Amino acid sequence: MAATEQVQLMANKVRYKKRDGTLYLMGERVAWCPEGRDHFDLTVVYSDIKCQKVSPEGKPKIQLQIILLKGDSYVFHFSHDDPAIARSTRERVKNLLAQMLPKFRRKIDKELEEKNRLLQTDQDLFQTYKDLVVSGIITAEEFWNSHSSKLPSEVGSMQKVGVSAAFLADLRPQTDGCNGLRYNLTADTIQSIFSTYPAVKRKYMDKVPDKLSEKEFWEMFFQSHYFHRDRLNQGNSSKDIFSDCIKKDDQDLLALLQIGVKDSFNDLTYLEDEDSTKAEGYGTQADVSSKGKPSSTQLINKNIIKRFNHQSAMVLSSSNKLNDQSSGDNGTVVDGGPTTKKAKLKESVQYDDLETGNSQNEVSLNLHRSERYSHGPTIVNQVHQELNGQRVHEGMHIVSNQCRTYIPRLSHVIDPSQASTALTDLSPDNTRNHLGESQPNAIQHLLSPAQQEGLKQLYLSATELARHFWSCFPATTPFLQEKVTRMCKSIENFHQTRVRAYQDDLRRNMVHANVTEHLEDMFSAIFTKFNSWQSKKGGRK
Amino acid sequence: MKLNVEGLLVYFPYEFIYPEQYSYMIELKRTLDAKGHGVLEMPSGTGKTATLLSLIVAYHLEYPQVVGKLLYCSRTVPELEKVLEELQRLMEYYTKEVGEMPKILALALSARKNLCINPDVKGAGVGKEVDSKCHSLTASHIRIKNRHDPNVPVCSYYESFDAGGREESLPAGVYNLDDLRRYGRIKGWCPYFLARYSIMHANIVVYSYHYLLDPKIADLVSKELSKNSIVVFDEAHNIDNVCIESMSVTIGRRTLDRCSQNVETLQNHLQKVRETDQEKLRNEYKRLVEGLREANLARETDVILSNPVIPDEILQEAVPGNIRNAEHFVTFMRRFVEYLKSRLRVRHVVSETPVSFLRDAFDVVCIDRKPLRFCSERLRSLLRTLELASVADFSPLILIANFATLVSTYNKGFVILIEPFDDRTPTILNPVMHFSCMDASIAIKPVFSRFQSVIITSGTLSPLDMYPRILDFQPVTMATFTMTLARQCLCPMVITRGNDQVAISSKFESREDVAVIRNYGNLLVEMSRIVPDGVVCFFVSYSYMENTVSSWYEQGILENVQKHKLLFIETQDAAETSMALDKYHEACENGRGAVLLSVARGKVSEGIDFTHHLGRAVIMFGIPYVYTQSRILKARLEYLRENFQIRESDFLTFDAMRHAAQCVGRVIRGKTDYGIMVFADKRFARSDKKSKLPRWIQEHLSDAVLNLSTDEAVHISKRFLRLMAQPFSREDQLGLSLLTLEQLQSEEFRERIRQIAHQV
Repeated sequence: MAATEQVQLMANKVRYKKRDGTLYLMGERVAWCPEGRDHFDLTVVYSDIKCQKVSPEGKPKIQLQIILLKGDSYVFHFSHDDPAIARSTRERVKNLLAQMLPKFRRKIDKELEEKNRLLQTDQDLFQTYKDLVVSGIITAEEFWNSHSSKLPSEVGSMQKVGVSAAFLADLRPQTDGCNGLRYNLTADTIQSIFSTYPAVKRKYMDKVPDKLSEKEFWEMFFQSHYFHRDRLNQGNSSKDIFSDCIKKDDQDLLALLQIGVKDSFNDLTYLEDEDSTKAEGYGTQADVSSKGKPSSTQLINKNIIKRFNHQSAMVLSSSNKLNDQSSGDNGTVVDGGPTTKKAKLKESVQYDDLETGNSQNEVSLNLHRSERYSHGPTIVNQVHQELNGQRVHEGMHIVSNQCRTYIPRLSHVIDPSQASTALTDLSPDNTRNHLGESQPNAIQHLLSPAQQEGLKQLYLSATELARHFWSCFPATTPFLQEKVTRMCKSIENFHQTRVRAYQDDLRRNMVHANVTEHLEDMFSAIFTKFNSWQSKKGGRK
Repeated sequence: MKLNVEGLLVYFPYEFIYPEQYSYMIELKRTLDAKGHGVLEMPSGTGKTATLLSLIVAYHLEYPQVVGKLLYCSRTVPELEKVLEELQRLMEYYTKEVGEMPKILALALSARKNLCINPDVKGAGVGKEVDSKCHSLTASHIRIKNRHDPNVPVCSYYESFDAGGREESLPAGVYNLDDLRRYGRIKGWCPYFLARYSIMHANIVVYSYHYLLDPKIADLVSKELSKNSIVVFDEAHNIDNVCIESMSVTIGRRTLDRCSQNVETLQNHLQKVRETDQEKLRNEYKRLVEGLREANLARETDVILSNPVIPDEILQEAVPGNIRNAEHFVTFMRRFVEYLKSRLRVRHVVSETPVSFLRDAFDVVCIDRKPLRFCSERLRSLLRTLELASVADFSPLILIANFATLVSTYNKGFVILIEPFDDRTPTILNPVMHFSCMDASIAIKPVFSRFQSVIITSGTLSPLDMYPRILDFQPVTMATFTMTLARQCLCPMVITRGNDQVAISSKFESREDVAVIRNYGNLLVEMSRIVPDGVVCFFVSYSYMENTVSSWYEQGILENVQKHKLLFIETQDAAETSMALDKYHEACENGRGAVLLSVARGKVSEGIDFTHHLGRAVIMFGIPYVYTQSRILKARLEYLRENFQIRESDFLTFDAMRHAAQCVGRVIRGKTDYGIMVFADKRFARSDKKSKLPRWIQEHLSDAVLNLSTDEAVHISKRFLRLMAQPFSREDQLGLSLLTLEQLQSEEFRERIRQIAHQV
């Protein structure tokens, strides 16, 4: 198989565990072959790789580390005599890996991890899983379908973390002792920078890795006037690759200004009711345009202010982008103004406390001892979160509505006598129940703990299977029909192997009580149903 | 509820009432009974507008002969819209209770840009352009041309209004700006001219101050309003400045240069007209001889400028002979412009009275006072005669003509200041001539003398006695109302020092002090850490804010602020600030919280409310004194001292404190609202400053919170915020700050209500 696979990159003189060798990057895996051998000592499929790490630039050893999902890691040392060549080889490997890894990283990984975790924490579930899936009685997919509620909600619906307003502030440079500055960039910070400044992201896509290395890019970024807020000195703009980002930002800003604000109550240009005669020259204020040119410090100050506004706006919109996609765009509604404006006007002249009515809808904080709340221990200041009043109202409204309209459909419920028989039929020891209360405890006396455990497992698996079986009815689709047949076979299989084995085990241990009788009942009910269903189906044909 | 206010049946459109509202009604009714003027201060958010409207509407319906009309003046367009919305609510209540809507026509009037429905015109966006475009479609000579040549574009909306809009008056109802536009669209009539026409017979007119105070507009719009009207100036704490602004003129070098061009253009036009259509000019001349009364018959659309002052005796007279001839007038204007240019060439500051200015003009270029007085009338006539398409181009010349009329009409209360350069940049020559009004009473005097009752009201009018003095009128009622509170929902405090015990102040000497700036910064960081949602800060001026922000940036304080909240900053550009404000709202709504840095006397401090979570704390960095080195201000202070016996320091403190009160008042917009008010300057603690705050703030400013350091203030704030976050129900309020009808009628509450009003 290795022969047919295409080798995408071959790196010579790569040491692994102190042995020289060659590193191969192939279509689906990474492999390392020691020198002078013709087989791989190490092969790793891309999909198993969690991430890669490289040694810092200054280090004498040029290394690349691969970390697997399982937690293992392999370190490759690029040991070419010439460090420059070694480094460039490493870079090539790194870049190729960076391209390959995302392709193989599937969403399934995450799900699998989740399922794995769940099975590890829930012993019963794990046992059932082993009984049913591992032994091939039902497929894994079916198993998880019926247990999906136990899995944490989908990865996609997880709340995304927004951008902190102070992400640039967190990026404190540290002096490295010899007239240099060090910035510690994390993936999060880079993500923040990208989502706040799309222009920088575009630039990054443009330049890295063809024209600049990642490191050079960020070096330039931190040196640029773009990063420093006094973006005025554009004299050395030829060196600064971010100078056009500034222009782009300014354009964006202008475009935003053109659109204007949606809420006319926030529109300062709407405030003033100027008439024709309120033109320039009237009043005591001198013409703004005729004023002298502002000094350069004033300009810098103005620029800082502008940048702060821009940055805050961008941070805000970066989190809105996510929301907008889900909640539909309200940006296109340009002339939907009047109704919202009217509503807003209505709201602004409303005095809630002067009217009766709606106050009971409010959610109030129910405190046992309010003085404790006001004076109590205050170590951390919790972020005060205020739900939008309207949302709370809506929610309350829906819930209270549902409660109000809820009707227990008593007419559809079976009558008590039938219910009680059904209950007894379905309960284990149904026969003995009539005899007395002491009987259920008998199992504990009859069976050893191991046997009890076995019976429990048996029940768990059997009920799981029974659930699958019964959930197929009415079997209207071909898929369901097929599943019914399969389930019945599985159950038969289960009955034959597991239950029989258990019964034999009991017999061997001289336990004569028929503890599996209820199980047998369950199975026979299933078989009867299956047979009648099949004969019906056959009859129809 | 239906109230009995000293014998008058008042429909109040709510089921409960605040005690201060009832008290306000009583005072208002007494004022109306006495047919006099009143000054009433009531905290914002206590339903002032609803109270005013329900009482005055009831009064109007009861005694239509006594109160014919209500002119409600407010400051900003959103405020106007809110007033009409409240009125709409009141009318709905009447309809519900009485069974039919009272025959009341109420409407808003605003500039063309807010009312126009012609898509071609409206697209211009900016107010001035909309006006000039409208004028170019509706001027009478254009319309006459259109009759001969249908290719000349006219505004179809105006045409159909002119054809049928005047006969059929607007049906009774409440017309907000949007309603007017909708009605206009249905009928195909121009809403702007419809509204302007309808205010003559409307019962309630809501518009901005300028329509009544600015003589240039008031003459067009508010001229024929009946004497038995009630005028209400809401949010009137700044009314003196509006008066002054409306009477002042500022002329720079650029204006004069453009004036010269205007004169040239006029000259050329005149030449052309003389060659083609001499008859026209002769007619004009004849008309001028007959007198200016003729001018009143001018069509409403033609009035592109109006005389800033038309004392009645002028209208009786004919235009003086030496400017009756069009050419002579143009030459006259050229001479006057050249004279002004020569005056601007001085290298030192000149300050003189109008009288000495006129004498100098006579000595140097032989321009007499009388023709100057007629300048704007004469120019108006000429522009109409020449049938110029783009009148907006002549705005510089119109400005000069207005100036000429003003300077020759008033010889008291004005000053002429010529400054060769800006004080801040003494090396750059930039001559400016200010013709500045120093007496706010001049512009408002006609209003007081014409209308029987003028009510001046706002949330912050303290000290109340100042307004009658600077506006020169005799009120029959002066009262300030407190806010009755079931819980203390405002938390004012004065922070005098930082944690390092260094006194904080924005006074000029210590402004640049690093320790002060740092302490201010730490205060902001601490507050942004503990206060949920929105925090609003006000600086004393733009330049101070810019400097402080850049120091904070260098000291890393802003980064610390950003760790807790997003940061938005007001700029001098209105569109940019609107954007920042919008984002600020968004950040508060979605729970991130934000800090808004803003400027006292700026647009935000005047017109934007920060209700509930939009503003949980407001920080006033320093006392917002006006720039005291300005010569205009100095002249005004001197005038006030000589004529009204108001000391400079008193006036300056009054002015600073009313702006500070405005700023901090932005966060409390009702009794269910709550907010922290931080006065961060040690000077606020002095009694001369403190006593000038409105009573409803002052009474919560106990001695315990007058001298705090930052950490003490933080401690108090934390406690306050936790208390305020408790549920607050009607039961807590009822009987204290909220009354039912039965409670209102009981004797016990009558006594308490009497105490709420604090007569001055």
